Amino acid sequence: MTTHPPELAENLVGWFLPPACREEVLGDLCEGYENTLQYAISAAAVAPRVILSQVRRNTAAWIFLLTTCGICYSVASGMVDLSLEGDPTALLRLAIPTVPAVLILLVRNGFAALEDRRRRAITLDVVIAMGIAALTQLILLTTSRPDLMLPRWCPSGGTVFAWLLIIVLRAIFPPGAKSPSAQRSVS
Amino acid sequence: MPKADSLGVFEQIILTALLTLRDNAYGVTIREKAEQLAHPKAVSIGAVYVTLDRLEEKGLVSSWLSDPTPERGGRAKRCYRLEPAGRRALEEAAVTAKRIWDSTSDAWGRNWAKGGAK
Repeated sequence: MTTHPPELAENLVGWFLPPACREEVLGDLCEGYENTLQYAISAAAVAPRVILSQVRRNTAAWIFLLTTCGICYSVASGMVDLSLEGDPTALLRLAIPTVPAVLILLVRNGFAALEDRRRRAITLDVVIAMGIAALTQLILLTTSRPDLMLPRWCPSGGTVFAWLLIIVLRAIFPPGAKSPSAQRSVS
Repeated sequence: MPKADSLGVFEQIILTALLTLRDNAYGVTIREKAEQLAHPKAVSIGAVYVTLDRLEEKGLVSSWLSDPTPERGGRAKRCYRLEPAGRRALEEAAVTAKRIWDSTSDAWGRNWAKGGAK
């Protein structure tokens, strides 16, 4: 009789766990393994909490605020049409690309480790966030809510400047740098 | 410097579990011990990880990876131990709890104390 979870299930669960705690969480889940369903339920309950915990651990509040401001600026500076003034949906239209971009950067913080903060990883973080912001506009365009899109948005010098600023910020203060002693090494 | 006065009840439970488990304190055993201490409340392993993470960040506990074991599918355990600051914080919490216990026993009588101690 097998007492270990199927390898496929373990690999799948491992993919959702931040590298800093993957080893021990998979081990603990394996120790408590009864059947695949129980394993899946336990993993589904544990994964969001450990991700949030790593996000909190690796994210400095002031860098998070600066990044959010940078993304907001990059989105706002690309608006050619300034007719948002007086528009009751203006904040919502600004938030739709900004919030997912900020959230994706936070999740990437949770999965980051200091050893892994090479230039490529930092640039990838920002490219993914930019992609998510652009994707929100595409989704709005293809669904029935184009009225919530940013008006005639196109990247400007301000947009590029803001994203470069975010890259530099993440390069100088990588996720986890708020408390290097608290940063766990990836096992 | 960790703030001893900011310990929550669940943090006290986890620190107590570490104190009693000594060298055998890792995710699974800590959750079991915490569930005994928090009885009749259930304790999830996710809550234990989050709390241990927070306590480690505060400098009250420290952790290290042990050698992999076959019963865990070749995975290592993350073992935890109380740091001196954690011990002090737990001592302060225990002294406060003792004062509360003494006061409530005085106010509600000896019979309540016997019943509550069950």
